[in-house]
Amino acid sequence: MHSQKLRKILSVLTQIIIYAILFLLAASTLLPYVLMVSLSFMAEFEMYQLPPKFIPTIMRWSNYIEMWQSQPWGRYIFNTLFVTVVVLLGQLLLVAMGGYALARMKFPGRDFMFKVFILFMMLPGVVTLIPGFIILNSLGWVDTFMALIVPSLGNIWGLFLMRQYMLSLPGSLEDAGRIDGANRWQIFWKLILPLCKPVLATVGTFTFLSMWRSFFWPLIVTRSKEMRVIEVGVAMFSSQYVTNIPAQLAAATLSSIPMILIYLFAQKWIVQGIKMTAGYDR
Amino acid sequence: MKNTFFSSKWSRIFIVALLILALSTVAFGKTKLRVTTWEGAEGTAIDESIIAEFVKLNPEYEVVYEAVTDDRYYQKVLTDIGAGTPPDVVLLDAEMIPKFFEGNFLTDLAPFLSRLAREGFSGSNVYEYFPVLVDIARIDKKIYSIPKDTSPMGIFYNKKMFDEMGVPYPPEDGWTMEQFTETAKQLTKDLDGDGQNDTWGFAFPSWVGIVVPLLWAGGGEVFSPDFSHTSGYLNSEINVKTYQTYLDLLKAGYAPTPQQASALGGSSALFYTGKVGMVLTGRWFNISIKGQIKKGLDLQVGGATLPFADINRKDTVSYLSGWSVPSGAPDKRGAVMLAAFLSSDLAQRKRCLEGGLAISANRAVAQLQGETDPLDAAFIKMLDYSRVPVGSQTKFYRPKFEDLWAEAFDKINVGGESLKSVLDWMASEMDKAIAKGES
Repeated sequence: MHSQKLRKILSVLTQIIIYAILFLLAASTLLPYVLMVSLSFMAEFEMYQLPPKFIPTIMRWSNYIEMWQSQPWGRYIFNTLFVTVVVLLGQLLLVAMGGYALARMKFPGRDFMFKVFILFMMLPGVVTLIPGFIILNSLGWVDTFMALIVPSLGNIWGLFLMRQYMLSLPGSLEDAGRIDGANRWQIFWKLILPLCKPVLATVGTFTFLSMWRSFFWPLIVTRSKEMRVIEVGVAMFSSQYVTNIPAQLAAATLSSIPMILIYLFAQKWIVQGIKMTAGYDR
Repeated sequence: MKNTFFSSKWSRIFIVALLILALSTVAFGKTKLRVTTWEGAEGTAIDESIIAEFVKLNPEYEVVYEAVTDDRYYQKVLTDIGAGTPPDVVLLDAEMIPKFFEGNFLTDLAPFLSRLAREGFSGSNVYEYFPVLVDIARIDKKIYSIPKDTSPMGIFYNKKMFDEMGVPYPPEDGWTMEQFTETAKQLTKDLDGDGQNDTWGFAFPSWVGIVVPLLWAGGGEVFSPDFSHTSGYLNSEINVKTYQTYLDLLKAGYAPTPQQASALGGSSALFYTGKVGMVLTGRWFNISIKGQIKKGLDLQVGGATLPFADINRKDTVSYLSGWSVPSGAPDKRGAVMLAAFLSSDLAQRKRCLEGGLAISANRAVAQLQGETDPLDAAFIKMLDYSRVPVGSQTKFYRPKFEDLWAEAFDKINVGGESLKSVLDWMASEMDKAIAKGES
């Protein structure tokens, strides 16, 4: 009786400790974000007050007005949204077709091609930066939507994910389709693709997030303000010697809203994506 | 009838086509110029208004303004150059000029400028700029950059804090190391009696960009005159004595340790919260100060010189940013015209006098600036004795010297090594790098 009580107390204590650790981890993850939002309403000198204040004494909405008026944010949002949506649709189509070809079709060099793709995943981005830029320049695509969209259409990580998923689908499905007179495209489009919704959602979610956050490539391949994207706009509040921290935090807060919404609606696919690619880096 | 060139049908078509082409060139054939800068949103708005004026005056040109604010600015510029599509005009930190010069990436602007100056083109007359700034942009009598604006290194002090503690302001025309030490001591206080300092005299200067002028102000040098070595200069007795004075003040608690400063938000935070009385930095700090005052911070700031070993031998450095034209720019005259216009009287007034973004490189505009802002006036005076930064004279400064200094300071601050041994080590490493040509 006594030992049962002790066990119960121990179990409750363990639960409390686990929850306390989880709470601390969650708080440490959320704190920087909360701080970013809070600081975006302060003047710079208020950020340095001791003891630090987490809730602004005065809500300085003027930081947001200053941020909004200083740059063409409407244009940046349109560019980011347009590029993200086009890349998202293009990537999903391409990785699905590519994954299908690599998983379900037999042709010479298929496995070698897959290995080459995997090899390319390991190349650091900086290696392909100048060659990529030269190609775009020779095509006359620098400072156009083509430069922002076309190089992002390929997604080896997504291709890999699709291939692996399609390999797990039973071959009898395709046989049944063939018996019913479906051609290769119909089998892919009407039989295989609908079954790949979970993996398509995962790839789509990650693509959206990575395109929304993309910074360095758009910085390199765009020149005019008209072609810039949100993340580049956020960086515009830092000049060589001075950073307008409140305005930059206001811009960062605004730019994070779509990502938070996406996370709220698509957290299932994000978690699934992390599980499916455990051990692989994008 | 004799069949002349003009009477043939095809010749007439050819001539008409040529005329149409020529007319269409006049009407639509604008030359495109691209200018790349690191300006943020505020600077961009000003630059764009300057460019609008340029285009109005020179309708044959169309200008694309490219602002790259990230710290990968130079990576972006070099990617453009590497890809064979350099911008026509590029904003360069003077300390990058030797690197770009070595890569043969820059155009000598001198012949273009003298021609434009004869035509009375604003911004092209080098005599309108502070001589030291033109010297910064000069290599072997060639000019590789048109001065845009400048930032001498000096001291910002919190007048309110000085007043509350009854400490006299630093003298306007320079002060000695002893006076600086005394002031720092008077500003350091344990206000609540807990045995810990609550205010300090100054934020400790550990950044290489301020350390070099401090060593100069102490009477030392860091490189030999021909920049072939640093031993005997960087690790000289005088430099050890100068910097040791600052380290002693740090050790005695008259400045927060770099770790404390970092934990409290850095030099700016310490200054704004009245924790330190003095910050040793460049004029660019004034932009942030003005911004804070505008947002309601109760702050009054004065400007002072760096402390000198000898009041009759003043020294500081003035950092410069300027407009350069890459050697691959197709329309060099047009590019130099734009570069000059971006530093013209109109541009300087918009950027410095109205925008307050920097100290104008143009002497006349800087004088007007000094009349409207006493804090700027203190820094403008420093241009009379400012020296050319080491980094704009030798490629071995950036990043080699800068990186080695960061390592050296860690050895002193974290490793507890003696200043003399660390400077000996750094001088030897620098000399080895120079001998190998490693920059």
